[in-house]
Amino acid sequence: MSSRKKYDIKKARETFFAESAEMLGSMEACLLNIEKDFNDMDSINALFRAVHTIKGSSGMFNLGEIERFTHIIENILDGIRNGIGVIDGTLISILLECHDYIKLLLETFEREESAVLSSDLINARDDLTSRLNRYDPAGSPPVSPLRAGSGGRPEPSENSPDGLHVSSDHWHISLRFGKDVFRNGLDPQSFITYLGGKGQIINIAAIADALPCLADMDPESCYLGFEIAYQGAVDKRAIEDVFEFMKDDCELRILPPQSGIGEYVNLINNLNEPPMRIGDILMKVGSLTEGELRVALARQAALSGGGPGTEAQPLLGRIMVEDKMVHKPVLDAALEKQAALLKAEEHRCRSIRIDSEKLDELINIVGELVITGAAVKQASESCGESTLLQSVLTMSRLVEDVRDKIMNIRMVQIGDTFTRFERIVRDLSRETGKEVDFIINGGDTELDKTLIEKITDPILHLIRNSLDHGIDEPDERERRGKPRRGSLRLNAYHETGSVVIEVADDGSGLDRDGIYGKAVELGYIQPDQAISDNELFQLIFEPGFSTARKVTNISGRGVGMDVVKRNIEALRGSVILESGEGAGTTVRIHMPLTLAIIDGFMVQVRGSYYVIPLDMVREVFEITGDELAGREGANIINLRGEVLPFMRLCEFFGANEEAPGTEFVVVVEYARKRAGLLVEALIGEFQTVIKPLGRLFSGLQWVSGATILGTGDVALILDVPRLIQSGRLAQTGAA
Amino acid sequence: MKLKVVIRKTGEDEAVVALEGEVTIYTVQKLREAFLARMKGTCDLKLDLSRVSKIDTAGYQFLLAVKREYLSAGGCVSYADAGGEVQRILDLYGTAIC
Repeated sequence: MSSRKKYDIKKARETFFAESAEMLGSMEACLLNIEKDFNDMDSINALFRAVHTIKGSSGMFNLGEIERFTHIIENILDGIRNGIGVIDGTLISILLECHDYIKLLLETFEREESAVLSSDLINARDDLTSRLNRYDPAGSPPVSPLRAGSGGRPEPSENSPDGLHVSSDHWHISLRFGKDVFRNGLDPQSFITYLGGKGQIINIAAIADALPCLADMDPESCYLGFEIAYQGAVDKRAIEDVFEFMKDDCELRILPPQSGIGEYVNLINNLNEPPMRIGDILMKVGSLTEGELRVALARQAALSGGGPGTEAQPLLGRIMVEDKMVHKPVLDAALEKQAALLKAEEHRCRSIRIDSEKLDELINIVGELVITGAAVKQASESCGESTLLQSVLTMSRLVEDVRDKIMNIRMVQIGDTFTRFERIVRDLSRETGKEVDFIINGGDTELDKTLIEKITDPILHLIRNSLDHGIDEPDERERRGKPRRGSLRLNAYHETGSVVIEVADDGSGLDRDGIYGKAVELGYIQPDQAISDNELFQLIFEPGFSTARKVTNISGRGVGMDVVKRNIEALRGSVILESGEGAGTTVRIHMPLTLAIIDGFMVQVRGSYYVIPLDMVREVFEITGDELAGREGANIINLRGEVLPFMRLCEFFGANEEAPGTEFVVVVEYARKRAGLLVEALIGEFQTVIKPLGRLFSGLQWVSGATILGTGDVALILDVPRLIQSGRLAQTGAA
Repeated sequence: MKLKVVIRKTGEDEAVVALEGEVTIYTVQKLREAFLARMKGTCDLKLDLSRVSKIDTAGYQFLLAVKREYLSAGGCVSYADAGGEVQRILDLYGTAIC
């Protein structure tokens, strides 16, 4: 059983790290927003919340290092929110460095629970801390979170109209737990121990009034509550933070030192135990003196309509009092807390975390369902029963819907990934002294999550390249008659069955002569060979090809572009580069919407079935043998005045029989290139579950997978991108 | 599961209950059943907690319930040898005002 508990903690830790990473992401985004507009209060608040959440939850997981560090930042941000501190560019830079440092810390602790900080980390921490301290409104000692405006003491409560304050000099904390707190794997013990670690528990009283007799008791439910007198250099939020992790499972009431008597009256009213009993406990833990208790009880009794000293409360009276309390002005902090809670709640409603393995399983099953559905459809068609056909049709449609929805779950908007680059562009342009506008378009384009993860590095590399080699220094740009600020665009959009991601700059463009010379030098082309710009530029994707005159620490070593290309091709994508001297460079990445299930278009060649991804099919037309006659060598047809290279699939797959009189041309398009495929028969649309081919077939170049038909036959799926880019079609001139 | 309960009658209205192992959310249900089944009529209870290896708040709550039950039946409850773990939680929570 204890292993289950350990497991729970492990889970919670995982969640903590995942959530902290999210919080860091939002921290960075907020900082970049604030940098553009120092008065952006929404971002400042969001930034504060992000830091605050990291601090709170790292405390729960005993990551004191992170907690202490974030605490300093939190203080500064709090000061800014309250108009005591000011935010400026330097502070933002420091905070961005802090973000990086926290990220490092989190990674360190994620790898090893009890990691010891390396000397590098310690140096970074000390450096950042000393720079931060200059901004700390409370001045140095980092652990004095009291707001500067309050003169080191929480403001007296607004709830004591006569200004009567209790004399006790400590916090009073009242805790009531939910019934399921134990079952939820939480042990109040650890929270209270933790609270004790941050200050001193002067007195604690366990309230067991709700505890039923043994026979009626469910020992796994919690019936307890605690009244705690507590001393420590903390603020209210710090105490709330201690219980942050169990906030859904407990009622927490905190009274600051020297609260108004009114607050204690409220406390007595809000608790379920009889007032006298609570009063007694408050006195015993030392939060109220006997005299204060008498005043409080008298006032409480007056409020609830009974005479002084009435012990048992008429229920109605209490409800009225509580009603009234709702309308009383509520403390600022409480409101804020509520708003934050609501926000967190909303967020939780909007998204849930699922293990991606579960999703993959589901997708596999849906895949099987699609295959079986196709088999049922085929069988029903052959038996011809009309009611059966009707139902099967409806079912097919539903299966299709299920398939689409499932695939959609994996789709993520690319925008989040794009905004991550904003920071990099900012840092790099500062480093190189260039002025760059970073413009993102099509952030809402959706792409499979795994694909997005894998494509991040290549894009990053392209951005670095653009910044380093593409865009010139402001002075140089001015001399060339361009605006001083360069622009770097990141675009994403859909195009015939693929997602296109463009990295475009308006920099100096590629140096054609330089590349030509280098290509000759490296032996890719002959010294006097004529070559189109496009073909020449693709050479920079070759390993070791760099024309950069200066190698910087950002790029220029000639490794990278080849890796970019290899990575993208490994994902069945392609990359194209366009450039005009002086006009900038555009690198276009085409990614297939690679999913396990696609809509296919089935064709027949010599009795075998082939599937072409439907979204790459542009059109289909019939062609007679006569029209093709005499073009054996050329393999080009005239499609409405355009040159369309085509290939005969039968030749391609090595079938030699005589072709029938009439054939069909399927026009496919990928990455802005078109080609025709000559087939004998069109079967039609077909939901295709891609089954990868075994290693035995890895030599097959133009087949991306196979699928099983309803009849049990196997159909090969054509790898259209490869087909189009293969030499066979390219040499007949698709450009 | 990970808890052994040894109940020894030491007199007409007297019993010693020795707990060995974990008194936690995982064992309290079993513990309660043992008490309900075998402790009828006993008024004075001595709890030997010296070999409790682990106790959580659920366990603490259970001890409170037992104590209150016996006190209200006119008996008395004493803790013999509260071991390190038990002592720790008693130090933390204090003995409740019952």
